[in-house]
Amino acid sequence: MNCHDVDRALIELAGSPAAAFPSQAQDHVRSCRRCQELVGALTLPMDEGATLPASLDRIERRMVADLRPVRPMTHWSGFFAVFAVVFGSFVAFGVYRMGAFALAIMSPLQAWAILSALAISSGLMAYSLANQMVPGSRHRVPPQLLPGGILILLTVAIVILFQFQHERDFWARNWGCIRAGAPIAALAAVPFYLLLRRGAALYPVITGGATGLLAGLVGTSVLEIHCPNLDAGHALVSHLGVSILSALAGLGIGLIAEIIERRPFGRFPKTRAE
Amino acid sequence: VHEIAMDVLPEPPAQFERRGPIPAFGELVAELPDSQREVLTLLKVGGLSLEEVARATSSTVGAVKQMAHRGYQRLRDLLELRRENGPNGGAQ
Repeated sequence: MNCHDVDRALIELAGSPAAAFPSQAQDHVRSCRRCQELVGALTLPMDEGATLPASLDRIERRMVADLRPVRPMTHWSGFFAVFAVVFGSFVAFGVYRMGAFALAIMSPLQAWAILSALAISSGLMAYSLANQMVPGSRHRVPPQLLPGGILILLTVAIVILFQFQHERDFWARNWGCIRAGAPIAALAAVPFYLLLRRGAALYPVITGGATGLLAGLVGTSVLEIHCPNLDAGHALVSHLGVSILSALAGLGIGLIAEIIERRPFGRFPKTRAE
Repeated sequence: VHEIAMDVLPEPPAQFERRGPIPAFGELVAELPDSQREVLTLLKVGGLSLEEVARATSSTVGAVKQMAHRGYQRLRDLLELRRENGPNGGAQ
């Protein structure tokens, strides 16, 4: 045991007051004049009024120097409006490029009902996402349950509005619609992602899945307006399938983002490495 | 911490007796470099843990320990100087 070990014991003792001063260190202090003087100095009366404020002032100055002005977070309604505009723009663009053949074939009731169901679903998803971006927002519908609920709602709407027909080349036709709808969904996901970065979503998996579903609903909406195939099976597998695939992709990306953030060297390390 | 340390201190032998009055802790650490003074003050006066001092000083626990160790070494040197030169001769 030497003076260095006494220092170490004193430091550990200061860091965790419950720890005991090692007996070897005590023995060394009894025999070492320099350590006796040091330990004696550490027991001297403390002039808190003179020493602590100076240190606190220095820490405060350093913290203030590190602070950067931040822009107040937008109200959730602002995010909702942007989601709605982006959603509408991409649907309009997709329909403009591909044509609105389904609207000419569907009955007014079918067209009104399916488009209303899609509008309500997309609105709820955009509302949920906007609230997820603003921490502390009140969620009227639990965000982890909403995507499932919306997929069930759309499935029921399609089953009620359209009839199951036996058609040839079922999978080939489905594949054609998925190939047409998936790129639109992927394209819409880009501005949605950029918008998400403006907020502070705390749960990447839930937010990723919701964003994927909203982007997928863009593809589903375009296909419902464009595709003249009114078979319920086709609408479920290929039109709604685009939303399901997109939601799964978003879920996967969110999961990866969460794993990266939880790693010790991620963006938000849990503890500072010693 | 220091109650334990006080128990450790034996009655000072005749040859260890200090020549002048013992300076206050603040007076002693005032002679240390800023970083060492800050760490020792926060540990002793502020009663912060090593982790808290590390956070407060935007540092790491390892760096705080090193700073405290250097501070203690410097305090030993200062106290030795005071003992040899008298209370007014040790200050640099």
